[in-house]
Parts: sequence; C-alpha cells; structure tokens
Amino acid sequence: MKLDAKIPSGPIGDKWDKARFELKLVNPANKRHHKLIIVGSGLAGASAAASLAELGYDVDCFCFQDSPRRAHSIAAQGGINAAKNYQNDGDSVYRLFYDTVKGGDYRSREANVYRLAQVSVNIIDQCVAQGVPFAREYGGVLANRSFGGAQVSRTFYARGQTGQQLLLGAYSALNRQIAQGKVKMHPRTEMLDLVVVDGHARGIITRDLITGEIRPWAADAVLLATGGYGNVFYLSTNAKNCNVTATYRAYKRGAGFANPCFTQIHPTCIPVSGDYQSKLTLMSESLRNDGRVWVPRNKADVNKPPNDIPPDDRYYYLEERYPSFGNLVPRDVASRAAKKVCDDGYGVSKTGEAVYLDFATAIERDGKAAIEDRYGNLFEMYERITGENPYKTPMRIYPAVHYTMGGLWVDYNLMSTIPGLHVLGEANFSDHGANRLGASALMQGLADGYFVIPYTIGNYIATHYHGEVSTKHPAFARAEAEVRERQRKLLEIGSKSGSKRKSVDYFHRKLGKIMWEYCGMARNAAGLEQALAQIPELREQFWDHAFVPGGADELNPWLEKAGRIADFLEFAELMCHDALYRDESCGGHFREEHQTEEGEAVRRDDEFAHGAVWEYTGVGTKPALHKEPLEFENVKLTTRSYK
Amino acid sequence: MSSATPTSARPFDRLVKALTSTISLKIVMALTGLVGVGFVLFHMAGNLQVFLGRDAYNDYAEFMQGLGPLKWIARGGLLTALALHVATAVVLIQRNQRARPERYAGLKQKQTSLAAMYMAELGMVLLAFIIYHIAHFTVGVVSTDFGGVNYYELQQATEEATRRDLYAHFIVSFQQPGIAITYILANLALAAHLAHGVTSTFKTAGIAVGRWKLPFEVAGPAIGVIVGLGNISMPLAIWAGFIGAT
Amino acid sequence: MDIKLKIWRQSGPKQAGFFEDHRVEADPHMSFLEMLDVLNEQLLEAGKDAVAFDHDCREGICGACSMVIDGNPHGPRAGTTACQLHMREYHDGDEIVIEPWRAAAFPIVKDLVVDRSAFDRIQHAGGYVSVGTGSAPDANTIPIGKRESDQAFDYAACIGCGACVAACPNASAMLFVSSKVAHLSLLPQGKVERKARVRNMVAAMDAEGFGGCTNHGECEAACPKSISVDAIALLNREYLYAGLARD
Repeated sequence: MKLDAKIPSGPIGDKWDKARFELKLVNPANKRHHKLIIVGSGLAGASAAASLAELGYDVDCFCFQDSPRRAHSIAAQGGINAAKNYQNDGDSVYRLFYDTVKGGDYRSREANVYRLAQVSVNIIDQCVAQGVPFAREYGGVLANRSFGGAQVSRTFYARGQTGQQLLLGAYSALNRQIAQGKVKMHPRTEMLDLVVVDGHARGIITRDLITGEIRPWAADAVLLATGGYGNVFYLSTNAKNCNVTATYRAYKRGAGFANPCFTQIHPTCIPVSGDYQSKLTLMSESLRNDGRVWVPRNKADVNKPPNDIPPDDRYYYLEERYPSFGNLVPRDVASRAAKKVCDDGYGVSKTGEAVYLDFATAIERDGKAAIEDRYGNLFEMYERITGENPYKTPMRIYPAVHYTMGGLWVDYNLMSTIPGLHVLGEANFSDHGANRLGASALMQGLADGYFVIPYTIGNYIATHYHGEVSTKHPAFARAEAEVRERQRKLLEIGSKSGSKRKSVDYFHRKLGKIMWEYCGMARNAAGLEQALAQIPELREQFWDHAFVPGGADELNPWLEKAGRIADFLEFAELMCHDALYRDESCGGHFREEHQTEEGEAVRRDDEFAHGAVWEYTGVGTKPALHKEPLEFENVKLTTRSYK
Repeated sequence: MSSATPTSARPFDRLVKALTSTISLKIVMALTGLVGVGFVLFHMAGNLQVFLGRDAYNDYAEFMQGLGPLKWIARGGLLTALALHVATAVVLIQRNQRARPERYAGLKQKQTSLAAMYMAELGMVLLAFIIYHIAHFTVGVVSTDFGGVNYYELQQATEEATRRDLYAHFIVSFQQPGIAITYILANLALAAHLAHGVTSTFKTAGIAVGRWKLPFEVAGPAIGVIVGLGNISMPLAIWAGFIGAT
Repeated sequence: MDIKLKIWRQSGPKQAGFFEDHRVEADPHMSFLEMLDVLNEQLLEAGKDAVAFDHDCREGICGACSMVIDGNPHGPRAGTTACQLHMREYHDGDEIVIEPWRAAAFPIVKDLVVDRSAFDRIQHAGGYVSVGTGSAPDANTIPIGKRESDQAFDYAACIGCGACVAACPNASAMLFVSSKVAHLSLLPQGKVERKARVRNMVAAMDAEGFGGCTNHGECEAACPKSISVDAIALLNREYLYAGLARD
C-alpha cells in the first residue's frame, strides 16, 4: 500500500489555488458520459451529489434511509464554523486553520485543514442562498456565537437544529437535480460491497431493503459519504442505523483505514438510565456557555438532591482545574475530567456516572427568559427524556461516543488507497486529527461535498479513465456471490441455534460493553489486549447463535442489522489494534500509560506524529500498518493547555 | 408523478389541471359559500320584517317579486353557486375518502369542532332543506293547504288591488309544529355549517392568518349564531303566538 | 410496569393486516421505542418475527418514526415524536393500541412501516431555490429581518414525518407542503421562484393522492414540531397569488 498524500507544493495559503489550477478538467460535453456512484445522502453525500450533477456528471445516489433527508447529519445541533470574521473579533482563515490543527492535537494534515478553513466561508454563502434560515440579528445580518471553547465567535447556527437546516439545504439542491433527471436517487438501498476492477473502484453491490433484490452497479468512480462508526460502542449519540459497513467493506477490498481509534466522546449527553437503553442523546455543547459543571465535594453528598448541597460543598472541577477556559475546555478534556471525578467516586445519579450541569448562576445573572431564549428547546428535550425540569434542578450529564475522527485514508484529493474510491465527510480521516472541534463536522461534510470533490473528481476522471466497465465483468459476479453467501449464512444461523438463539442486538450490546470498557474514554495496553481476546469469542458466538427472523426477499430490519453488526464485530478488532499501537495520548485517544501527574494527556510526537493506516490481511489476523508522516510547517507543536 | 419543467404539459391541460387542483376547488367552494352567506344574511334580514306585521312583510315580498329580470338573474346566480358548491364538495369529499381507504381503529380528534367534523352531513341536510324550502315557499307545491285553504295562492286586498298574502302562508306554516321543528332543525344545521364554513372560507382564501386569524375565527361562529338565532326566532315567535296570533 | 399492546401486523402492502396482542414489562424511564425493542427481543428469543417499525435518530429530528399510538400520531404528548415519548406517560396495566400511518399515498410496507416517498416527490417538484454550487453571493449581501427569518425557521422546522397526513381526517398533506412553501416564500432567496414552486408542488401533492384541507387543525395538533396550521392559509394565498398575478 502506497500512501501518497499528493499535497501541493508551495506556501500553505497557495496550495489549494495551485491544486485547482493543476487538477485536470473534464470536457463539459463529456461529463454526462461519466457515471458516479455516491453512497450516503448526508451533508457530504447530498452536497456532492447535487454539485456533481450540476457539473453534468451522471450520478446515482444511494441511502439506506427511506428518504435522503433523514441522514444522520440532521441531528447535529450546535452550529457550523466559518472564518467569515463578521464579528470583527480577530478571526481569519489562518486562525480557524490553526485552531483546528491544535484542537486536533496535531494529528491532522495541515494542507487539508487549511483548505477546509478557506472554503468554510463559501459554505455559509451557499447555504444562505439555498434558504437556510440561520440565526440573524435585528439588523438583518447573520448572528454568530462562540462555540466549543473557541476564542472568537465564528459559529453560524439555526436554533438547536443547524444540522437539520443545512441538510435540508443540501437535500433541496439534491432534489433539484433529481427532478432534472441528473441524479437517480435510490433510497432504502444499502451498499453491501465495493467492486474493484483492475485495481480501480468501479462499482458497488446493493440490497434493495424493500424487495431484498441484490444487484450490481457499475460506475467510473465511487464516492463514500457514509458517516462514522460510533455505533461500534452500541450506545452512542449516532442514529440507530449508522454503521461501518460501507467503509469496512471498502477496507476489506483494499482501502487503507486510518486512525480508527480516534473517537470523540462528547461531554454533554444525557446519562444512561437502564439496561434497555438503546441510544444516548446529546445535549448541545452550547449549554456549556452558560452551564457550570460540578460534582459534590464530599462523597457523602452524591445521593443528596443537588439543590440541598451548599455552594462551598460543590466542586466546580473544570473551573478549578482550567481557570482560563473553565467550562469551555475542548470536548476531550471535558469528557476525561468527568470520567475522572466519577471514577473517583464523586459521580451522581443511581449509576454514579453523571455530573451536574447547573444553570442557576446564569438564570440569576441573565434571567430565566434569556436562558429560555437561548436553550428553551434543549431544556424541553431534556425534560421530555428525563422527566426533570432543568430550570429548577441541575441537568445530569455524562460523556458519550459522538463522532469518529478516524476513517478511510484519503489523499489531498479525497481519494482512498483504491484509485477511484473517494471518501467524504465523517467517513474519511482527513481533517480533525485526534479530536474534532465543535461545529466543525458540518463544515467538513459540506466542504468536501460542495467545494472539494467537484474539482478533484474531474482530475481523477481525466487522468484515470480506462473506458466503460459493465456489471457483466466477472468482478461484479464474484462480489455479488459473496454478498449472497453472507446473507444466506446470516439467515441460516437462526435455524441452527435452537433455544440458544439470541437477538442480534444482544451481541451488539455485548460488543459495545467491551469497547466502552477497554477502548472508550481511557485505554491501556492490558485492557486492549483483553478486548482483542474477547471480540473474536463474541464474534464466534454471534455466528453460532444470532437469530435473524424472516427471509431475504422482503423488508427485514433484522437481516440488515445482522449484517452491520457482523461488520462491527470485525471492525472492533481493527480499532483495538490501532489503539494498542498508538502508544501515546492525543486528543480523544487517551492511553493511561501516558499522562502527567495531574492526569493530562501526554503526546509522543517523535514516535507518533503520523497517521496510522491499516491494511486488511484477513478476519482475525493483525492488519498491516502503514504510516503517513505528518509534517507541520506552519503550526508549532505544543502541549495543548487550557489552564 | 412530478415534472421539473412546468411547461411540459399543453396549455389547455395545464389550465384544466390548475382549475381542478384541490386548492382551486376549495377556493370555488369558499367563493360560492360566500355567495350563500350573503344570500342567507339578506334573506334573514328580509324575513325578519315579519315582526313588523302583515303589511310591511307583504310590501317587502311584493318588491322582491317585482324585480323582474333582476330576480331571475339573482336566482340563476344563486342556483349556480349552490350547484358549484355542491359539485365541488362532492369531488373534494371523494378525493378525501380515496385518500384514506383504510380507517383507523380509532383516531383521536383533538382540535376539530363538531361542526367541522360533520360539514358534509350538515351540507346534505341543508341541501334537502333548500329543496323543501323552495318547494314550500317559492314554488308552492308542498305545505300550502291548511284547513282547506291554499295559502300559497291566498291574496291580500290592498287599496288599489290585491296581492299575494305571503305573510299568511308564513304564519300558518309555522303554526304547524312539524314544519316549525323542521325549520328550526335546519337552521341549527345552517348555523353549524356557517360557523365552520365562514372561518374556513377565509383560511382557504389565505386571509385568516397572522393578525387576521383571530377575527376570522370569531367571525364564523358569530355569523352562525346570528343567522341561527335570527332565523329560528321567527318560527319560535309564531309558534309561541308572539306574532300572527289573530 | 405491565403493558398490554395491540399492534398492527401486516406482512406486505397487499396482504391483509390485523391486530396482534402482546404483553411487555416496561420501565417508566424507557422511551416508547425502547419498550418496543424489549417486545421485539422477546419475540426474537421465542423464534418469532419481530414488529417492523421505522426509527433512526431517536432524538426527535430525523422524522423516521411513524406510528399512531391510541389514535394519536406519535402518541399523546404534544410536540413530541414517538421516539421521544417515554413510558412515564403510562401506568401499570395500560393497554396501548399501535397502528401505522394510514393514507393511500403512504402504502404500508410491513407492520408499522409505510412508504413516504410521496413526500420526496412533492419536494422534487419545487421544494428548493435554484442556486447552483458556487454561484452564491456573500451571505450578508441580502439582509433578512429577524422576524421574517424566525418565521421562516418555524416552517422550516418540518421533519417530514407525515404525522400531519396521519392525523388529518382527509389524509391531506397540506401542512407538509405549506410548511416548505411558507419557509421559502418568506425569504428573499425563495421569492424568485415562488409562483412556479407553489403551482408545481400543489400539482404534485394532488397527483400523489393526498386529500384536501378542511381546516380542522388536526395536523397542527399532531405535528411533533408544532408547526402552525397558518402555513396552510399562507399556501392558499401563495397559490391564489400564483394564479392571479401575471408571470
């Protein structure tokens, strides 16, 4: 596996301009003869599908949801960053770039991040033109807020539903192309394999989730925009159907998987309430702008009603430990701090895994009306879920898996190690390093789809096109046969398992427990070895006892799930291998062996300033490691300090 | 199903499609309904003159009968509005029924009024009543003979000549409990139909929104109550012997 | 708590459906869908086919979940999707009836899963501003009053779940269509194409076989995002304007 990042030469500020000039163009009249497959219809997928169809390409777009509008980008609450500097508070492309590289704990590629910051300004323009109703000031201009600990107000937002509004914008652009016949949309259709012909990605195999029809699709390039793999933990803030299958199948076909252990644990989620818990709900990070995080100072108080604990007996641990950033420290820092106080026995609620997020001070300072105006819908949501009123009693929160920075390795042009296979949005590894800053996921998804891939895909087509490949090529038949065989096996387990049968969710929950325990917020070598021993056992049990009802030729949600969980059961091992290999603490990856006396992360730049890219070698065998060295020419590597 | 380019169909087909769209038909219902509301108010105002006695009422009746071609234009217009109102109702109701072929085990209605729920039934009652009402007073083929006298043809002697004594027909009809009850029930139906219909009309016309929402939400029930009370007051007053007791 | 369930089972669009009785032991802190998860787990461990229902984000924003609970689309709590409904709304021994959305334009796929692609097709007919990637002016070029912008947002909050259709006595989609039309027609960017948009979207709505609005307001009561039925009056106004104003 050769890792050539194809970073353009020259000063960082000129790289993208240079690239855009050097990237080859496809003749406008020829574009309609080039078929592109896009898998996923979230921010990255929908924006790419719309933009590429506008350019004239013949696009097929697939999503497993019943409508492209339901992709999980819709759930993002907080906002989207852009270096517009509308607030005149010192922001610039360079500052956004710098903050993102630093926030990512120096494990991202400078050139990609700089480009992201550059195109961020175009994204806002585009979205406003589509009719996205961003928050505005009375004078009619766009409003901004500071988000996730940024020192400048560069976040654009649409109440607590920014993701929804941005996705509806991209969806509307996609609809326009569907209406014009330039995009053929295939909802309720799941990609189950990638087809590689002569070393190039030339198609996919899909299952129609309504009829069960399995069929091949050929194209000149394949774009994956299939999101992250946070559901490997079973409990996460991801939607229930988010999965790793598309990217993992691509990995099995030869695409390098980079930094899979980089997962983001979001500090402000509603804590688990019982074993039946099916997912976790995020409370927007913006709450930390006004909420104060604390636990009781005395262990004896953890079961006391919070309002009965006097101020002096409250431990505002973020404010005390990080006086300059206080409650607004980055996500990874806030999450680990919460874990630490809970591990030390100060956690509240019956599980002991929760801390308070208290608005009493803010309500006293600004009035209830102001707080309601800012967070009304979030407070309502909290009340719906927990039955508690956050205006009166502090919220209880705990960190939860939220985003995965790792993903398929891509070069500067968003192409994976398989020529023709391009990866966009959360599915790739490129821009966030070891930790993603708040309000940057939406930015990256749309940057990739609207403003990067339209340029880079042309270059690939112009330089790599080897003529049409039809689905009659034997590679398609082979991949299709493998998909069918796997499906047959999944349906067969139930008939053999008899009374020992378990639902597929049972195995998913077990896998989640292993991953949260050993590959969650804090990891160590011994634990990861444990996980690597337990996962294959669990996988074996799954293939012996997982019960999938129904047949292959109908809507069968349990067959869909079974396939996804089977992939998670293999992918989890890859994650643990990577976490074990990365013998340092950085960003969301915290190795307990590498911390200061105060429990802060210790990076090892001399050993690990690289992307770890893994190559598939077979189920259950250790993948092969390749490294992409990260060179920092503009940002000086320092220890992140938010004290 | 859908086409991206609005000009793909032929102009005539587009016109037909536009005129028969759900919203267009609703607008036709609303406009014809408004014609009906105007008529009902005017009709009530005229009839309330029954409280002023035989001469005043028959003066009014004579004036109306003497309008000549204008009368026939008005009648034609009203009948056309009625026909359109009923026809669009039939088409829209059919569409609505086709839109939900399978019923729920039980769908809770949270916001709707009884009047709104039974608009179609009320409409059918009113249609039957209108036919009876025209047969009764306008054409004079039912409920005309009481005690061996044909009141429809009864004349009132005035100074110059004689004229039809509609007042007498009016009074004697409502002295019959069956007829009075029929009219009272029909007018309750009318009141309910107007209560939802008038408000609905202004929503369909896109007017009852924002600051105009509340006024029009009040206007419908208010007009319903006014028309209902006004019209019912007459049979009640007659029945109770308050007027016409001679 | 012991809950009795009457759930609609239907193996396919053409097959006859029926209510099936189940019992499930629920916890008051469970979400409604978690209660159904528990039921499904029971069914699967007994080797039976579980109940199919659409769901995804489980935080009230994707619009996937769609079930009529005791005659209420999304259940009894106002402004709440089924996935955000919690069992603390119920008592030990309660019986709950669960049905799919019922509308000709939303054919049943299986059990509680319906096909809502009609909504997408209505959006294809004009639910967008025709602006290609790259051709947008600077975002602050056109000021938009906070009030208009907030109003547009109120309508843009639609999650496309179809509860309005499910609740409407006529299975009308007018709240869905009107919220898109109102959102875009309130913004300067959307005004340019307003006439063609409303004409085409209404035509598409009719072609899908949805009923018409009779101003009952049930859609507003069922909408998990509490979108005002005023949207429909705005739609009517836009439609009239499109018909009367010269092109």
